[in-house]
Amino acid sequence: MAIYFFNNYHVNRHRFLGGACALVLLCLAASPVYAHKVHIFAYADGGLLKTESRFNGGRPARNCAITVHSLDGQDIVASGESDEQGLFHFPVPERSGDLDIIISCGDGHRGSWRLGAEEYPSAGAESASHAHSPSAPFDGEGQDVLLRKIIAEEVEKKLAPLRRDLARLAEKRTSLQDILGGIGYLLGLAGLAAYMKFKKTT
Amino acid sequence: MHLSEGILSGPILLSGGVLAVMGTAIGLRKIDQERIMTTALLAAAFFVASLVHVPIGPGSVHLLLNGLMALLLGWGCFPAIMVALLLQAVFFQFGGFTVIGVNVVIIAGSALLGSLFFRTWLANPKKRAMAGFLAGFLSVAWAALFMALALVTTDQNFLTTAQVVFAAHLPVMVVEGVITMFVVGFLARVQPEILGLNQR
Repeated sequence: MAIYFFNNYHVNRHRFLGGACALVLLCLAASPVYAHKVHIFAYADGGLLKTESRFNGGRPARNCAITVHSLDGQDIVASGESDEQGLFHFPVPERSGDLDIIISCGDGHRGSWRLGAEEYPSAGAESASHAHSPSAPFDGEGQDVLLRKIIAEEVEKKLAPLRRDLARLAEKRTSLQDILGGIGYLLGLAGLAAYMKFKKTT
Repeated sequence: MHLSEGILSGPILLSGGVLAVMGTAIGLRKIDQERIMTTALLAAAFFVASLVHVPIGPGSVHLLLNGLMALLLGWGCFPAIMVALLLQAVFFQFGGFTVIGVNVVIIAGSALLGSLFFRTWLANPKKRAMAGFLAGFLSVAWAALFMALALVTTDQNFLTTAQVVFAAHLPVMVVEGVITMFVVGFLARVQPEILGLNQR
């Protein structure tokens, strides 16, 4: 059995080496960031929720349909199309809650991002304080509310780029381990198949 | 070329799955012991090729190498592509598990359609380069058409979708044609038995 296998291996060795060399070249050409899934992420910036979408190669996903669904009601909160830079924004919805943002590019590419309710300031709170502030701008309580609102706005402004970076980091990137792991599986399967066929012939 | 999850309807996913399993069963029976390593290497090449981005044209597209696979493996390209797509779904999040069947049919079925005719041309040195180019080119073209057909069932207009997919893949068709042509020429010189030339 061992001799048979060894002989067979010898016949196939050149073929195997040639193929392996080609594969290594292909791996070098395949920079891990060049994939083609469509990514979308969203973050709050002031009273707006902004989304950025692109393909993993770095190309912005242009003119792709974007729909925003609320998770509780399953209804569409906002919808539109990404611009030339793959950007899209919509106002903070009236009712706060988790949002599912879905991008669909018409050619079979689809991606989604879940924006948790705690990740953006609710529209309701803002409008309530707006209504309150002009009526009593100088009494103690009104000043307190106004101050809180100003602080909240400033913090929100500072948080926006951080949220953007966090969202961007949450993306899963293809790594060299992924590539090598996949190739390993394929070669392992080939070994298994060869063993099964070999067992059948003997 | 990988359809994402959540686009297609149940019946399409199911029929895609059935067709993919049938093709894979036929393919598995056609792979003999000698071809196992070739099949695995081509599957690995396909697995990695999807990461090679073609930066021309309007869309975001990558190499497929499905024409090359069908040209060298025939029906054997079905199991190879099936396994490679599974691994791509796991490692790269390309496509998805429920759409595997449809994606296999799109990529392997189109490759078979685009390449099967040219397999007989491989033995002829004059026609070999042409066979390589046409198989590579047509396999991607058919794949784009298959994909547009699969997307008909969604609310999208067939002609618009077909145009978008075709335009995006036109550069890939040419690149694939050239690559397949060179690989076939190279193999004919270095490893003719991989093309099945010594066996007949």
